Amino acid sequence: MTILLFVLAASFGAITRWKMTNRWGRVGTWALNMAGAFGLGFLAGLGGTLLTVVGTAGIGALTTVSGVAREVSTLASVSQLRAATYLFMTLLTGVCAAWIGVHWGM
Amino acid sequence: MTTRSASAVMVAAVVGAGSRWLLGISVGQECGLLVANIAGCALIGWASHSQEHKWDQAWLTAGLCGSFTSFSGLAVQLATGLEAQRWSYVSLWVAASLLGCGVGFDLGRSFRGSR
Repeated sequence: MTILLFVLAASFGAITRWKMTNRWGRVGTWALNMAGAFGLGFLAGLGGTLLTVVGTAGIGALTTVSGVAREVSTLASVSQLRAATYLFMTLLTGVCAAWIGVHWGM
Repeated sequence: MTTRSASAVMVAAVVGAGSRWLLGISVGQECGLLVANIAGCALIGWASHSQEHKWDQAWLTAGLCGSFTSFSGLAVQLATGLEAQRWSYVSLWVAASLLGCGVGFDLGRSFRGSR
């Protein structure tokens, strides 16, 4: 049962990210990364199957570091400053979102 | 989005997320996450060069690489480290992630370019 839920959650997370990124580009990636950071922070106190399914599979597949690396590379080919700003702001806002999630969390 | 592409993304996502999970169990959650993030960046660097910036290998980029890496895991590691005031731990994590992912991405891209 856990494996089935894991498969469903990972599929849902990746498809959602793919659709959002196709529609809104790097803004979509950023929004999902923030939502995911908050969500995982919120659930961080939990353990067991729920954290594995929702956290590792669902939220893990919803958020991406490789997508950020790809966006930074694309931006760097236009402007190094814009690439650095995007990377810094993504990290900063992501950590803030996760911190709020941990504080509000279970 | 075709049904075929969506199915390929879903299968690749399960493989990516499953590999990250197994890596975490094998070498520890923190180390596993770092390795997965760096390896995922290297793989997407390799994939990006092959497509000459068209980024149309959805199963590989959005599916496998996207699900193998996890921004949420990284953000929570840093947030909990800051909460506990483990400054050197957080600094090390940021440095290892930025350097590892950056170098990994470039290595992946140059490896593909040299073939």
